[in-house]
Amino acid sequence: MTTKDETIDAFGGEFTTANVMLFVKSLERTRTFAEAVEDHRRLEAEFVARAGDNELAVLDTRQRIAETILSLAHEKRAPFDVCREAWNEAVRLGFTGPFERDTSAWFYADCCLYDEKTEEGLAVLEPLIAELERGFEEAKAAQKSTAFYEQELEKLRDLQGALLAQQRGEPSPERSTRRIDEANPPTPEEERSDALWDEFSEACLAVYKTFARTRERSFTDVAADYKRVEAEFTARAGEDEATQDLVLSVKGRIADDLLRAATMLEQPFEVCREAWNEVVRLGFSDLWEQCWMAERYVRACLRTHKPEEGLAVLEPLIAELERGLEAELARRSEARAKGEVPMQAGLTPTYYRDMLSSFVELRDRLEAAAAGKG
Amino acid sequence: MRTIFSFGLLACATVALTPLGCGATVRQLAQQDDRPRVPDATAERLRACVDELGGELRGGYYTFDVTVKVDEDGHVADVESKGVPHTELATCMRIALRGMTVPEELLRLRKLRLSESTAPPAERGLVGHPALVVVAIALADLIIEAAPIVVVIAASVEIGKSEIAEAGRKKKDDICTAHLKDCLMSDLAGKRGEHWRATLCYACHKQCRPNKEWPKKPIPLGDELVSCQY
Repeated sequence: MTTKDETIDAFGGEFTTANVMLFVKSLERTRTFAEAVEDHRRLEAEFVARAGDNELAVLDTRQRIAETILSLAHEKRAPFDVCREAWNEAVRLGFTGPFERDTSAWFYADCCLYDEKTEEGLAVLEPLIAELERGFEEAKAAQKSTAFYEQELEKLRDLQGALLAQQRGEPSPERSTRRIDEANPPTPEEERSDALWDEFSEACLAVYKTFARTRERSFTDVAADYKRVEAEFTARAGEDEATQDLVLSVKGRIADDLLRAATMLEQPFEVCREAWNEVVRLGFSDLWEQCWMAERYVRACLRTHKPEEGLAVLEPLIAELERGLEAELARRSEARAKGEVPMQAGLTPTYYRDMLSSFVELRDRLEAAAAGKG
Repeated sequence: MRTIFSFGLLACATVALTPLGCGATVRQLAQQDDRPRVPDATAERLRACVDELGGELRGGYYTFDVTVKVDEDGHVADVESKGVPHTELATCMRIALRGMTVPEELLRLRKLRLSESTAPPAERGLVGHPALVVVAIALADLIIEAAPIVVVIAASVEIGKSEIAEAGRKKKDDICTAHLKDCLMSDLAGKRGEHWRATLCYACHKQCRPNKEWPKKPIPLGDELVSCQY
């Protein structure tokens, strides 16, 4: 892999593409874990056969499939012994690198949390965390980048915190357990609602695919497609009492997708603003979504030379993120003061810092543009 | 919407004079009933609008009737206005109001007024879809003077359940899966991830899963930092 732009070679590229596309298909709600495993084993058999005497490619293929199956066991909430078996196979085959090792450990430890096998989860995480902490200190001492260690430590420590809290008998605000989920199985109405939503999501994705790569379709045509999807699914959702609550979710999603289309297709400011106003009118589920949508609109304001409009949206959000970061750091500090390892509850400090960094840079550009105009 | 304020009443009412910066000045009226005030930061932004653009108006009094619609969480959802015959000035002031941080006291006032209501929940629209429960609160008038013009901002805040809040939390796709699908439609799909046979989108997805946050900053893969932004 000598090309500087890091593109994937032909043979590896075929496997990579097939593996990830199959993974995406496996993530569909209606695809069972058993079906997903069967698909991936077929893929494994095909590429092991094609690899022939290339032992590296054979081993790599088996490792990749093992890691994917563990990931799917976690995603699909397979029985605990299945998740454990998938983890054991991944360990037996070895990992392709520290990132894969840490990610796989996280999936397995989260399986442990879900099935309340607390000690098993901690037994996997604790030595890894200790190793990463040593790596961090060594990198720091050698004045090398510590970014990898910080990234891995944050995600593993948050899960460790949740496991320790479970050990103390405290529920995690972010994660359910099998006991809770089995006590609250989905109702037939909820199943109908989920099925309709899945169909609607696919319809939105189909529209997105018509312009996302080429960016050559007219916005008018794209918007018309989205509106047709909206009309169809609001009508269908409205007909069934079980799915009526989806009506506003459908409108909200279409509004989000229209804003995205308007900004990706570089529409005039007025078009972007109208799309943004509709997104705001329908409301946001959470701060994460608000930041995601706002960033698109604000970048459009910069592109269309409307810096004041962008600043009007950005400044209150920056203030809210700063407050959120402060509150989150205080919460974690309080947990540590009690001798506890803090667990995730809402947005992480990394998210707040990264979002603030991005928004502050954007604000600076907007202010410069505004000053240039004046 | 608030009615237009007469100049006579302006002269007699208790006045808080807040000279800010150069040019236009701001006054907020404090009536005997102590209506909530426009936050200072917003007042300053409104003043700046008048300062910059008010010169294009003919001398006289203008009333900017504005309704600021706020959802239950205190976020400004919309701003409706009328009364100022200058598009850019009106736009500037709407933008300023859109960025307003709604004072806590207004949200408390709303709760107080809702609890004082004697109508049963069904009539108040607390059940059913897509009813809104709205409480309107008038703010103290804000007067911005930039001779020869005077702009009176007569604002009311309508605080209600957002349509989404009324119907329950908005349904949405799993964040990481949604991003993965989008990433695979982008140029990132062909970029290498953590291994020579891994796609970057897949690596970003794996990084997303623990915290349910698609990575904003470049992620360290091996010795490099690689961006997940597509």
